[in-house]
Amino acid sequence: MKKFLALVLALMFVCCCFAGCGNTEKETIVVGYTIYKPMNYLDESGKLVGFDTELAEAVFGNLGYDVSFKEIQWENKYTDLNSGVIDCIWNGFTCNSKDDDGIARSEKVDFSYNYMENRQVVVVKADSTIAAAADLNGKIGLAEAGSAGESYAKSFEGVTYKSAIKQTDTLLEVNAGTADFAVLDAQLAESYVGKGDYENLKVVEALTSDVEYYAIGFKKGSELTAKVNGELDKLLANGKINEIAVKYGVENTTLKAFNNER
Amino acid sequence: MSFIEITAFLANGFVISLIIFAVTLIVGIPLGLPIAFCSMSKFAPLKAVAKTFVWIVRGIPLMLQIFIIYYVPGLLFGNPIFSQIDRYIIRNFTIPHDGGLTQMLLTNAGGLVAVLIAFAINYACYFSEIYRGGIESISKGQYEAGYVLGLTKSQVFKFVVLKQVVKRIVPPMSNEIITLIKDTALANCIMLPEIIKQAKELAATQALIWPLFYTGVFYLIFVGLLTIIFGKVEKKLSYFRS
Repeated sequence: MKKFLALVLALMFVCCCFAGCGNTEKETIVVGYTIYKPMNYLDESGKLVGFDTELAEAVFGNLGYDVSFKEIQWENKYTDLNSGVIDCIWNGFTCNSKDDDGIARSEKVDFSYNYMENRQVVVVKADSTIAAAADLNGKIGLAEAGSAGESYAKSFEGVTYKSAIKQTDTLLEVNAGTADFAVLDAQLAESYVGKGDYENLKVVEALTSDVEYYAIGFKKGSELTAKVNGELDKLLANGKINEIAVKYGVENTTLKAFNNER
Repeated sequence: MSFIEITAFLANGFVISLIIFAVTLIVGIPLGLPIAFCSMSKFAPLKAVAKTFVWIVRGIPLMLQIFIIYYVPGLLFGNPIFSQIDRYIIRNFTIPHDGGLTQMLLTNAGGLVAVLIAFAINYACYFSEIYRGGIESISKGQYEAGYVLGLTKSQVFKFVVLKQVVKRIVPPMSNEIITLIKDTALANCIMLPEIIKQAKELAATQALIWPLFYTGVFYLIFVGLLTIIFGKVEKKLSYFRS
């Protein structure tokens, strides 16, 4: 019993030490991401790569920070950010969208410049008859919880909406027939639909949404926002952003001049 | 990825599940004992505290407890302890980027500690109730017989009560322990890479769906082993017929 108490006390002590360490200068930036090809994903050797991954490494590297990546659940992103588990959300984060509660995302986090454009697309089984918005009436629609696709999926008349934990899970469900269509980011759909076990899925081109923008999300009032914006300007000017975009095949959607549309 | 590579990838995740399993038992089994004694205490305030604690821990879903332990230090006290552990490790260790077990453990150490705390406390409370039931099931007559023979209170507990209690609590304990290995899957609510999370990662990155169902084989084999062990333990403990 005494030994056990000693062990518990020792553990508590260790925790306090860690807590103490943390209060010293914070030089490691933790970037929150979800698996999202081609923005953040694992290559065949298990290394995290992708457009957002390399851009984040370049920006924070130049600013003199260590950078590490932490996989999060998208619906927990604000909790992760506000509780300090991560320092920024850099994962194809649509900034000019409202969350399910009707509050604009820009009210909840500080955004960097918009650096990429995106659209929401509707994915169905290849043999599906869905071709226009009217066909979605009475169908079951699926999107990632807390995603920009969520509000787009709900905007169609007569749709029964369900949510999934990950964008990629929505494809799994449409494939398994538990939902009739999924709404997800065009970038992601392009990387998966028609490949591997998802070869019998297709994108309904006619239902693609209006353009929206990706930006990096920081905790409200964070001093990182301005620093990162400054660095993004430099990397755009010296062509580094375009270089990474070409590597991941996203040069057509990368903005050639940043904007601040919310 | 070949079948063998996928098995190895999932096995890495199962190691995390097994770590949660083992540490929960190592901490939870002894920790249940003081909780059981407190909830049987004759000192009313202590008893009330213990009972309330057990009520809260058993009354809230384990997933929510993981969220509370993981997020509340950062949200309420501005000190994200578990994230600090991660940052400390990132600063002080060279982390290999090969997707292997070392990388998984080093990059998720903070989350793992949070999950271990949540699991250990949760399971200790369940165990404490099993212990209490076992101890209270021993009839008063046996204590009285012990005292008449001149044994002290602690001797009666050690030599008369405990052996019977151990025997009686094995079936309910084995039930909880089998539930525990399956509960480890809850760790993926904070993205700890246990086996289910690994399988979903294959679905996300390789567009492979079958590994998710294949994970069931890992659990089945492990529970099969546990069942054999518990059978042996019960046989060994058949020293008295009651």
